[in-house]
Amino acid sequence: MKSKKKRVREITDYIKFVFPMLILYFLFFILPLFQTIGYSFTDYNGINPKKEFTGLTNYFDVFQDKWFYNSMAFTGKSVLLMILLANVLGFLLALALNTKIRSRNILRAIVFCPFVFNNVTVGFIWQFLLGRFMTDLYPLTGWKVFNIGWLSDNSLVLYSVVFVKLWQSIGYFMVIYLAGLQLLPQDPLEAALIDGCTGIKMIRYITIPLMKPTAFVCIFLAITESLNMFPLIMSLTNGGPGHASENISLYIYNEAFKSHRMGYASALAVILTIIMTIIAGLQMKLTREDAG
Amino acid sequence: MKKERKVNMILAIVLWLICIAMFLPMVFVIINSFKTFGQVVMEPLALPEEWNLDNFKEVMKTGNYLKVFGNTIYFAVVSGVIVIALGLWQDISWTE
Repeated sequence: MKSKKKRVREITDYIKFVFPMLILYFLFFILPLFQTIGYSFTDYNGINPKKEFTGLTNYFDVFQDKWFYNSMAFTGKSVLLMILLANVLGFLLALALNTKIRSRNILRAIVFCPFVFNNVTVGFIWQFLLGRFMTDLYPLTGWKVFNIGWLSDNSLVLYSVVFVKLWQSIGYFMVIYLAGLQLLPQDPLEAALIDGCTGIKMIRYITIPLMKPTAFVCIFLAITESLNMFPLIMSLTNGGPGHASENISLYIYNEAFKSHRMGYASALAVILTIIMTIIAGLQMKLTREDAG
Repeated sequence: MKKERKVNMILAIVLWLICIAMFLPMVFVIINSFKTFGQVVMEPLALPEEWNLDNFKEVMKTGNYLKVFGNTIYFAVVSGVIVIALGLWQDISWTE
């Protein structure tokens, strides 16, 4: 009898415990999610409250839309490039800055510095540098590098966007890798030293295998960083030239608020949510396997 | 020992070069903020003809910088207060 009473109290305690957060979560997350799913079955244009139910037409349209595939390809390429470059360069920088150089604290600070800037600020700085500044440097130096339209060439704009994102976030990856390097267990390192393992061999066979958990964290951070490029791309190129640097989130935004096809954009967003859920599930599974 | 010091020296020089390259964009933005718009367009590389603060004054006046910055502070403070209030709520209902 007493235990039942206790149990009821426990449950009310739990409800009290989560209740304020639950309201906020419901208002700002669950409700919009279902609203979006609802919109995705209509031809809602974002302004006119009158909307007609159109069934699955939006979804059929998405899979025949070449700009959808275009933006998905851009997103995928930028994610892959970011995973590769951010991890390799971040790890190399961390290794270099973990040695006993006298000025390493200043160097670490400088590398981390761009990360504190706002995405939009970074976008405008580099739009100026890549767009206007480079063309003025070319006649002065005569170097071919400055004569390339980094932001106006269809095939190059991907690399410029990834480069800018890398410039901004490399310090972040470096800091995480540095923390990982400093938390490494010392015993295997010492044992390897006694066995005569030095230099590159040491890094290849001892350090990198021990850094696996940190690398996992960094890979998923790279994925989120490159999926959150919306403000950067918007201020840097605004999807241009044409649709060449259009991220999937930028494409959804343009469809919803510029082309006024809220219903269609909702369908796109639902598909993106499904893909994200799969990636998140994969991450949870992988990290759990790694821990256990 | 001596060899290690040499390697470290080279590494330090390479790292300094990388860091200077990373820092240059920020330097250009700071320098350009002291120029007039005409000079920025005409000669983006040069140092300002005279170091004037007109851009900063204009930002303060027409850009409503203080108001916009105030809005940012407002968002930060309000969301911080809400988060702390929710945390306190949970703490109180836990210890009751």
